[in-house]
Amino acid sequence: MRLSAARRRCTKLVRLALHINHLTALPDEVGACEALQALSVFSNRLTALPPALGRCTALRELGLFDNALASVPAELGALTSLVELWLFKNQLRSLPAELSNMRSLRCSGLE
Amino acid sequence: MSQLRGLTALYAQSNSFARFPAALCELTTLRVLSLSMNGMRRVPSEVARLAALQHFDLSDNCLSEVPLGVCGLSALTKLDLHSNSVAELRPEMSQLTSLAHLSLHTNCLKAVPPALGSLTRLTWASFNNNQIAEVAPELFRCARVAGLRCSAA
Repeated sequence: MRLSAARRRCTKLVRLALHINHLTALPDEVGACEALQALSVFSNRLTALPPALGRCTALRELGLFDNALASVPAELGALTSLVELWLFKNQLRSLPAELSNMRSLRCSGLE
Repeated sequence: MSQLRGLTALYAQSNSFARFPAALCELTTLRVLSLSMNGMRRVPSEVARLAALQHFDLSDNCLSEVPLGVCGLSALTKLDLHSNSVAELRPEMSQLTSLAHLSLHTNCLKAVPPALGSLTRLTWASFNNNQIAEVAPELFRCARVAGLRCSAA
């Protein structure tokens, strides 16, 4: 008898809407979403972001506004496809220099 | 109704079907069924007979749970359940393995359960406007699919 190894199927999520909820954190596993192009987690209670989010390199839109973020992980600098980043209405006092790697960014929403 | 043996799409949204019309469960050739905006409170388990159904729109009704019969629709690629009163997602949703589009926004959900990690074809998911405090990591993780296969060596 031969037992084949378990296959692995990775998430194919392209758009995920989680805005206007009661989230205080995102799981590290969000970094497995290699196909994810739009993630909206605005209007939650997020105090931090998992550095693994920087592995979602297909992201084009990232809605983080209206949370309780005090910082943004430097790993987000790897999101070089990002076009729109919405950060307003948080508790940010500085941003990591790595964010300058986001060459596609047109709109930072930091007002 | 049950004589419409070739019907593939039925758009019956914005009516007053407070009860799911039982005759619809016989329309087994249906690929699209919209019953959005009907004030419907429950969907019978016999709906699982609609084996060809690919798009089921039950949005804007009064459903307090995901109907069990819906979880038996294995050909379903698009399921709209937004704008209901669903408080919990049942584990049987893991059977919806063809699902690519799932809308659950504007309900009363408290969590996204691990069962949704089995929906490996999901590309578009909306959970916004709920009361979600927890998202199971399984939603993102590379799901292990039991590829158990035995053959003579």
